[in-house]
Amino acid sequence: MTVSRRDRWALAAVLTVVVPACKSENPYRRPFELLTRSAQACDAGNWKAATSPAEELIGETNEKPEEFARQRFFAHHLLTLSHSNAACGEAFAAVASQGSRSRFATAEHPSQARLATPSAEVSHLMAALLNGWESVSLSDRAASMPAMIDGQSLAPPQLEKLGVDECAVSVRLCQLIVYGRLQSPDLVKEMLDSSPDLLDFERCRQIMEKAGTPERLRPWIYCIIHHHLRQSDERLSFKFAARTLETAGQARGTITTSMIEEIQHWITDDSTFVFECPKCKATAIPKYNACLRDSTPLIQFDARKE
Amino acid sequence: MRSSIVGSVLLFSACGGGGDVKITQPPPKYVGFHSLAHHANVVWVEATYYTDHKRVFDTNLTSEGILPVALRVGLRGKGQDELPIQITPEDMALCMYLQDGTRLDSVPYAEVGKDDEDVQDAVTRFALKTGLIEVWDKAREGFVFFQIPKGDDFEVDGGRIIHHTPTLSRELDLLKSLITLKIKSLEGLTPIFVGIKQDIKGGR
Repeated sequence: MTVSRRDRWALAAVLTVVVPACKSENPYRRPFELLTRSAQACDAGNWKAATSPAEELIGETNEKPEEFARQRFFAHHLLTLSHSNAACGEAFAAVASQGSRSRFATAEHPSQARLATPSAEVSHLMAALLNGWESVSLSDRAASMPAMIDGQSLAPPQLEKLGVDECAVSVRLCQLIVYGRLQSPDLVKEMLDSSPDLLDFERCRQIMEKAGTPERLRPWIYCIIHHHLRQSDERLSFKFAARTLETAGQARGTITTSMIEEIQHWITDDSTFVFECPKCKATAIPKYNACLRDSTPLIQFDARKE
Repeated sequence: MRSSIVGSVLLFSACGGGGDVKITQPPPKYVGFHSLAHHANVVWVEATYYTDHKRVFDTNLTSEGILPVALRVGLRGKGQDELPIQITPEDMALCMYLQDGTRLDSVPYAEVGKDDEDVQDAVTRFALKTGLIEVWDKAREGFVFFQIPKGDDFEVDGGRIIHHTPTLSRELDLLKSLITLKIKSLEGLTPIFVGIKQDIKGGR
């Protein structure tokens, strides 16, 4: 092979500039930048834009997963969150399957995003579950790593502020939603058995708050716990039912009208309790979310055995 | 032009690239879906992937881009003898979702093995029979078929699928996939979600 004088100059220039740059650059810098882009897109609610850099990070650090465990953990956390949100009627529309390189197509128009098909929702839920388990698998290693190596932060401030533990809780809540929405009561039970605090109504709210669970996902947590408790604790189940009805609108139509009607029917007909206003003793009319006489919120209603 | 090629090669090598693409393995702690699911404790569905389905169909369908999965759909419990519940090809909306969310559409059995009479006979014989759902004890297992997307993005090898995307190549556990279908009753259409188990001997 002959190399021209021009090529030799080009090679020399490349070697002079690139090789030292590659040697001196902190290897955590590029993943940090990708995480920052992903986290910023997540904060802006741009889920599709959040997934690309996070997936790039995972692809680029594949050779040394242990070394980049903390950054990979956060990337999977962001992917879990993005797909969970996307499954709540946001940003991704149809699922591309045949003859396409992309699993998820972006909606060209916001109204299409709101009409995300159940099929697209299942795709996003599956992707959220996979990334959630990736996160769980990395959490111990991620927690044992420092937040900064050789002067380079591993993750942007918003993720470090939340921390590995809270991100792990956030991921577990997303997984609970996936198992609940895909009708796996046994797996929901397993998750709730391992996180009994969630069954305490007030604690549940605090846990979601601390983990930064997006508003649109919270009605699903309430709804899933309500169904889980129906057989074992109807009084408590009612609290979660009332909160589901109160917040269902935040779930962007993914808690459907028929699901809402079914919960209302449980309160008025299927439960073995009668729920009544603690002040005027009026029986609950769940579609109003409050007592019609004195405006006492439904969630404060008492349970009386029929 | 040649300079830029040489430069690119050098840049890639200098930064440690150039090795084989490493395939991401499925997370070890992943908890998949149960292979026996039900709706209201009445309609039950079980899904099985037979590793030796070649013995049933006389050909390895996966090498032709078709993934066969056996379903058993039946009624059991209260009301099992009276309920007019059915599955129909038009309303079944059968799909399979891989771990990463990729959806595989179902393929009508008449489209599978069209070029080989023996294969088509076997496919027809062992395909899932639609219509009114039988009680569980009488319900027979039948195969449904899913299309693996065409092109180089997917490789199937036994119970694992490798999905190549522009950013990463990921190994997916077929047995952690999810099948969705809809049953038809007087109440309308109801979705059922079921995981997949693995077995060796098919065509029972």
